[in-house]
Amino acid sequence: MPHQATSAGRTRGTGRRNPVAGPVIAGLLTCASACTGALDGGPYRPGETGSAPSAHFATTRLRRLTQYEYARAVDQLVGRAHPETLMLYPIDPRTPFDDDADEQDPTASLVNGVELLATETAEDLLADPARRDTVIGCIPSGPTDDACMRSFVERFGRRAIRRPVPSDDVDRYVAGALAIATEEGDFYAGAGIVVRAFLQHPRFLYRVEVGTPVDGTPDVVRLDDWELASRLSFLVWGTPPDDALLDAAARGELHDADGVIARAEEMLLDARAGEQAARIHAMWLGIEILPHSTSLSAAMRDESATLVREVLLSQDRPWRDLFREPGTYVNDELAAIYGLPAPGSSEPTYVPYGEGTRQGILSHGAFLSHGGSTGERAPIHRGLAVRRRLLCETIELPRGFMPPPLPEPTSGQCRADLLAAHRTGGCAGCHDRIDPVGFGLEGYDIAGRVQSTEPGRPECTIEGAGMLDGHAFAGPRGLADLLLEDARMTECFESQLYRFAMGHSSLTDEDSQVLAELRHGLVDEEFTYGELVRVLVGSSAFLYRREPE
Amino acid sequence: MRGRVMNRRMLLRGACGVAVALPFLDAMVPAFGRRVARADTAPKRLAVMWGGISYGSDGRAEDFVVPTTTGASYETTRGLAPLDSEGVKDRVTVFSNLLLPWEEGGVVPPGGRSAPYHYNTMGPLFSGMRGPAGERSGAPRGPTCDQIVASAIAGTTTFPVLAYRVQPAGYVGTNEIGGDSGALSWSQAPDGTLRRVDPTVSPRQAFEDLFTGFTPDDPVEAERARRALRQRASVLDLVSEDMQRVMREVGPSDRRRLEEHFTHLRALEERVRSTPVAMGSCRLPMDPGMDPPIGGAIIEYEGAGMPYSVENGYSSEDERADVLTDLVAMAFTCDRSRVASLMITEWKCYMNMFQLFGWRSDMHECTHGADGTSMATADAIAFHVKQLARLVRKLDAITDVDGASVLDNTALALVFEGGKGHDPEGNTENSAHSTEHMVALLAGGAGGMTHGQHVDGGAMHPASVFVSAMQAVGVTDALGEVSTSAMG
Repeated sequence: MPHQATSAGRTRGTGRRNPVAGPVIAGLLTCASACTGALDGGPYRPGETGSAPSAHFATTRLRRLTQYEYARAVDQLVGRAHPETLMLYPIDPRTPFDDDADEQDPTASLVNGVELLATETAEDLLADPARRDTVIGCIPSGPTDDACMRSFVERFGRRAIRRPVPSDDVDRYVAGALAIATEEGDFYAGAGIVVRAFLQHPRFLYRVEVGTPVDGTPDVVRLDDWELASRLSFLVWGTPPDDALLDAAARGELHDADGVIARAEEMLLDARAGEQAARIHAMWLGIEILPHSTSLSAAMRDESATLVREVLLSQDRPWRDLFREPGTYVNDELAAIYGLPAPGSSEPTYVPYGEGTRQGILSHGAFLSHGGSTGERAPIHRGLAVRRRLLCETIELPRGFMPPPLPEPTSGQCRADLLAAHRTGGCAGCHDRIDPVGFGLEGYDIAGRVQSTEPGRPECTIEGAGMLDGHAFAGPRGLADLLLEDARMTECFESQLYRFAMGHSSLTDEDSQVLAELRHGLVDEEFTYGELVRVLVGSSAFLYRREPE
Repeated sequence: MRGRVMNRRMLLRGACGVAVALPFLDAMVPAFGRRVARADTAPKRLAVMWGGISYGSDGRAEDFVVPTTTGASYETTRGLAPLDSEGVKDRVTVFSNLLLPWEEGGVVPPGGRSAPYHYNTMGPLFSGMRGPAGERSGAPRGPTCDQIVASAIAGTTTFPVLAYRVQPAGYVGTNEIGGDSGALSWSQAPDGTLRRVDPTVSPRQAFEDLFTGFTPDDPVEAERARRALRQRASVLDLVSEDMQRVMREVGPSDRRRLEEHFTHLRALEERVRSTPVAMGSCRLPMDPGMDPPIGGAIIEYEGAGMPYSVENGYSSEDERADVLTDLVAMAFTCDRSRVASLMITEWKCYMNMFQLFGWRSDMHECTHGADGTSMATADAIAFHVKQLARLVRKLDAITDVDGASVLDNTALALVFEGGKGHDPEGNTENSAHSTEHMVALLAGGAGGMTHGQHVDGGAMHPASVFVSAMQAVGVTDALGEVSTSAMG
């Protein structure tokens, strides 16, 4: 049931950027020895004018399909990807996204795994005549039907390598396939060769971007229409381009920024865009895998994904409304955990939060699952999640620093007493920044259940009073309101979406300049996800590529 | 090809879903090697193994792992029980009281570990090189023993090192094991740089890689296999040409990445075009079938009284290890490889103990006082001992080209992440975060080694078992900074 609420607390055009953003950065960099910190890019200065920004470009390495993209690509090509076989394809480490090209060095496991996967995918396709005929697109007159094989190679090949197959390559594939078809007396044995080869084609597995040279900038290329179709599709949908998008590329509709932006607008209306936005947010927030039973974990993931889809895509509201929503999408199981009225459904259904300190995505069980391996340290884990994920801070143990262990609890001690050990000496530099944030979320356990005393210690009453950079708050609502007043969270998401779009996690100086340009392109911080995507895909970083040395 | 015929998993599930334990190498292998080859000498082989667990249970003095007496007549403990159940007690030497030295005052001693416990023992154990002071790093500072041995004895075998990992997922956080955390084997390039060797995690993939080109005995099956190989070769022809065309079009950075891919593609092509020669007991093992599903992340333990997941945190590691040790045994027998590196579990292993032993905890939390405590940690040790014992049993049952058993020409060693004792970080005793009183196992008859004893290691470095194993297969170098052999 779609939620038609007005956007609570929406302040388009009047929101203020945190005036202390600069000093906070400085403070972070000089904080105590046990803590290092930095923020991405420069401070956001809406409306700042000056000389027109010169064109900045993004340097991108050759990217390989992620496991998710590979599965979607196979699914799109043959109508079915085997989830159970996917473990043959490399797992993508999250940094926090799964598409970091620096993590994609080719290995023997990749090459061998992809061959086995290609073989199985072809066998599985050929064993299903209805699906096979749809994919091949013609009924062969006999084992050596050259015309049917040729049209199949052209059609299937274009989908697989995301651009037309050059005619000499078509000839080569047809000859190879017909040789096997003749030997086996079976057209489909030859077609199987085609499927298997394209599923190992370098232009299938890698996002090859050659482009055309740009005068005066030797290492920068302007991407061609096919390459832009792929960039658009993998960003907005998480899939390779479909036939319609490839046709648009063929018609030259992606030839300039306006064309790319117009296409992105259309693509955002498609259900695939909602799925992709939910996935991007899940990676950003670190809520893909949750430490609960299968059904509860699924309900929590659905809850957050539904909020993202509804607010960002279906309702096209400001991105920041994710943190303002006065209700949530729960099924009966999750509603019972939260103590909300059961909606009478096993599907995520909108229920207002009512009284209490819940508000927006920070009160979702998924986010509150950042509780660590024992609830004893939940304030630390949650504090870290807020700082690292929501604010893009780098908090690391300095080289050579050894954290002392937490003492064993003695009777009469509560969490704050235990964790107080971390608030002295060299540890305090980090923990004074981390722990007070987490204590503000203590009113909820790692499943998002309200708790008023600590588990196993009824004498320890939970206050749930938190502190973020000198501002007191209580509960997810208080934290969300504080973060909405703080430019850093919005900037963090902007830089994260950029990281995902470009496939690298470490930002260079030029990346920071690109980000500053993108921010110039937004009217204010009350932008919608669609606006952010449009600004991004129309940028020189998206339309061009700087090749690494 | 796979899948169409009965495979191992189907057999194990059996009729009516009853799991049937089958002696794999006796009953499930189609007769293959008719050509019996004999040789005066057989190649030497090495298998090194790792378990990401210590047997301490914080603050508890009791011990269910180390036998109370030394010598040959020691009583098998709970942690060593698989030596009895697999019938290999006289084929294995148990070392206790080993000591991996640690950083003190910012100085890491030779072969020692840096002071933070988790993650930091893999490097010194497998390379013999001291870790970096104060840092957390799984990456060793020198090549690992498997790679050193492979460069000496691999000869022309197809796989210089078989690097496998049994535990496929991490079971916490995003449930991944990737990067340096998930790898045990590091090779050294001629210019001195160290390179991580990512292990194969899928038993099915391991089977495919190893036995490509082997043709079954049955003429109909053999013909089908030959046709399948021809088709694979045709496919790889097309892909190889595509790769070379794209490499010509792209810039230098992209080309370097594609060239690396192409190197592995060429190796695959070579395997598909070769026809491995079967000798002696070499047989084509039965296809292991689909891999067991990957378990989800565990429910985090919230203290006494909280429910513990009985559904997540386990991916049938025991079954995976059974297949992988079968494959190692047959890869050694067929001389496809002479060196195997088996990471059984991840360091700080969070594998669920419920499915295997009924404890409501994971291996890591057991060491910190969760359900079962010292008994549970002994069971966790036993899980790893079982994998070594299994491989010993399997190798012992196969006749090598020289008429001895393959075990007689093999050296095997198993080490663990930690032991039990002093924890320099927390300044506590009887801690699981300790590299005092470590246990290691050594097995195999290579180099004339004999076994069956429990030996007090007298605070010897645990990597000494690798030094012994290396010497047994004819490599007399020290392992990094460790030169003492456990076998004296």
